[in-house]
Amino acid sequence: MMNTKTMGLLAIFLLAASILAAYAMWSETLKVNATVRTGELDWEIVSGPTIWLDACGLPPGYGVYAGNDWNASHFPSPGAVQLDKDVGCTNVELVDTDGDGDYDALNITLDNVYPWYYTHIAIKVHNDGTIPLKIWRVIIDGNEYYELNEQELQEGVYIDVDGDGYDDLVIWWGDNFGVQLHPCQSADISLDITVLQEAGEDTTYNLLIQFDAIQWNEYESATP
Amino acid sequence: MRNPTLYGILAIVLLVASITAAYAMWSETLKVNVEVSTGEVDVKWSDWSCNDNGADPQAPRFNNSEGKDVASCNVSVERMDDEGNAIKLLVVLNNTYPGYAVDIDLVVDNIGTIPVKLYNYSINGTQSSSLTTNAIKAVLDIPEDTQIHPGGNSTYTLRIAILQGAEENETYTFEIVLTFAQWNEVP
Repeated sequence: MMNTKTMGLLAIFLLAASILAAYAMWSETLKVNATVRTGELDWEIVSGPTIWLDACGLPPGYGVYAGNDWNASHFPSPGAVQLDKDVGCTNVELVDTDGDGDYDALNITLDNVYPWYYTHIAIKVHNDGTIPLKIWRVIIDGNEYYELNEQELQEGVYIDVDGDGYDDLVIWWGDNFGVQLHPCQSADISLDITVLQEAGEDTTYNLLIQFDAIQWNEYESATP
Repeated sequence: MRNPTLYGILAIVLLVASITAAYAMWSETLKVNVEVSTGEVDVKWSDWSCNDNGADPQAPRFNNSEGKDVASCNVSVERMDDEGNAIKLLVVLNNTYPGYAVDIDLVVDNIGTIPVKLYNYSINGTQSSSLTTNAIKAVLDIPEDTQIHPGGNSTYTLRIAILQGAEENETYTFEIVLTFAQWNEVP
């Protein structure tokens, strides 16, 4: 004779079996497993090809590999004439600001310079990512410049670095903005810097110049 | 002298004989032999294609007028059933970037003998036909009428777009499950 507990278990079992039978409809299942792997947008300043005029430490003399200063004699037109004196000098340091192993910034120091002192800095940038990029904009002293402002850029940008109401430097740079770099490709970017008459004596100017690249398919929509 | 036991046995024999005679009426029997042959609910992935066959397709606002082929889209069979039918596909998008957007057509064949309808669907375990994160947006276009007759097929389109919030050098995965059941059990 079954006791009450056994009867209860049997009832639960029968109830569960009836529910399962009701839901055991014929069915088939199809699946899709999706994996999305993203690429990398990355570029760097290549350390080897970076050059600049009148590097600090060069011995006095004429030529691009000597230390005599350059004067912006044709200003505001491009070009400079090498002087017979070695007074000021230019130092450029490559900096990895985000610690990803790529140089991404220039730390430029003009030492003991004076009005109409001129220097030229050339860098090579390299697409070391997996996505095509376009050289998008340059940010100088917080102001953004794009290729669409090319005409203005070719005339140079006057910058009041110390905020005294007078422009201290003028920076001119070459083209290549808007230029597309596929992975592993590189391009040259150059800057000309001229010290203006209004620059202060015994003054140190710190200027951050930032180059931004953007993935090629967003260039048009992201460029004003 | 007569034996009483013998009389008893004789009486029983007579009684049985009379009963048997009463039931031995004329009669004929008809029979029905019932055989039930059940059908089969069965579906498979029969065809698949991705619209990235060269120049990368783009989401609105993004521009690939140059026709660059940067990312890739590949669809393959991940699992087959015992009969060799594809029941699970693997979609792999490689070297993607914000703005990359692909449409993947997935064809379901009814290879059974019973009409089927889509009974249930989910993405990553959630009963939904779309998935949106800060990195990707995936939408499965489900036909308005999901019924597939035996020998017929139906196309489901999976649209995947990479969003601006996607991380570089990252892998994102999700799983889509479609359950088909016999048509008369699906509302």
